[in-house]
Amino acid sequence: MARYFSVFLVLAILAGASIFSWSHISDRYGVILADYNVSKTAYDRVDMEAKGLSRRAAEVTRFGSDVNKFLSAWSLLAQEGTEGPGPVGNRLSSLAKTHGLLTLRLPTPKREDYPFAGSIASVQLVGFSVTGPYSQIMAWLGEVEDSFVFARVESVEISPSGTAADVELVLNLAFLADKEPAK
Amino acid sequence: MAQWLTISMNVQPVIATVLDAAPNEVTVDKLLIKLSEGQSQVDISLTLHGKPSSCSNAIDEITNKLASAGVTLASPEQKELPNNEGVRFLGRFLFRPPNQMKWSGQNVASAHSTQP
Repeated sequence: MARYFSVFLVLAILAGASIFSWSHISDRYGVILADYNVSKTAYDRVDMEAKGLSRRAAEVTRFGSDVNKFLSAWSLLAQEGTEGPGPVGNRLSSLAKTHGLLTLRLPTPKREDYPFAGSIASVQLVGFSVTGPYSQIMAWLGEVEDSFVFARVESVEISPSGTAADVELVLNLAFLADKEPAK
Repeated sequence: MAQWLTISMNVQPVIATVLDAAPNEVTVDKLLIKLSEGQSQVDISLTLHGKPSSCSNAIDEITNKLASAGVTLASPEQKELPNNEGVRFLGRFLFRPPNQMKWSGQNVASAHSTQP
């Protein structure tokens, strides 16, 4: 009888210890889970804020104020010639083609010395005109702005194209061009 | 030169806001957007066709929509077109810093179906 009682006692102690451990682990898990949730919420908020930044803003932040690094990272300086489109013009045409827009490359003026932030920058202006449905035009413009994060939009003009369904958009972009274009 | 990199505002959402805010009773004939001062301010020239009162209401609507998105009107100028055909509006707007913009610099999705 005493032997049975001893076995029962040992089992009871083990059961008690298990319950205590489980309860303790469960409590700890609850604390860890709560910490995780707090961290995850904070992370999600930061992530959402980060995603709220435009590609342009993110790139600018990444390169700080180092213009040369920024431009070389994009490895695309304005190389538009008066006689024909360079990489910028070709990219604008290619994007327009994917959106089914009619395109017209506007005469490209020579580089200009542009008073900027207390100094003189060499700037290449690129003009482009597209015609098509409004929704496609807007999609194209959005893509252009995301594609050329280092370009400045100087002006945008939207007007009816002559056909009821289409609009015409004339876009003037300015590129910081601190190197001579490739000959 | 470094200021060149402070550009962080996309123009496309401004256009979408202006054109989408214009009510149906007016027609946007021409919209010209010109940026200056490192894209911290923008001149918006707008020709609206319709009743002058409707055009004025449309301009108020556009101005309010832009203001709620962080583009505030600094100096407005409004002229009626001859023969009560409509209104020409010229306004200088100021951008808030990008992180305070409602759009956060993101382009508006391409799902706009309305015609200007």
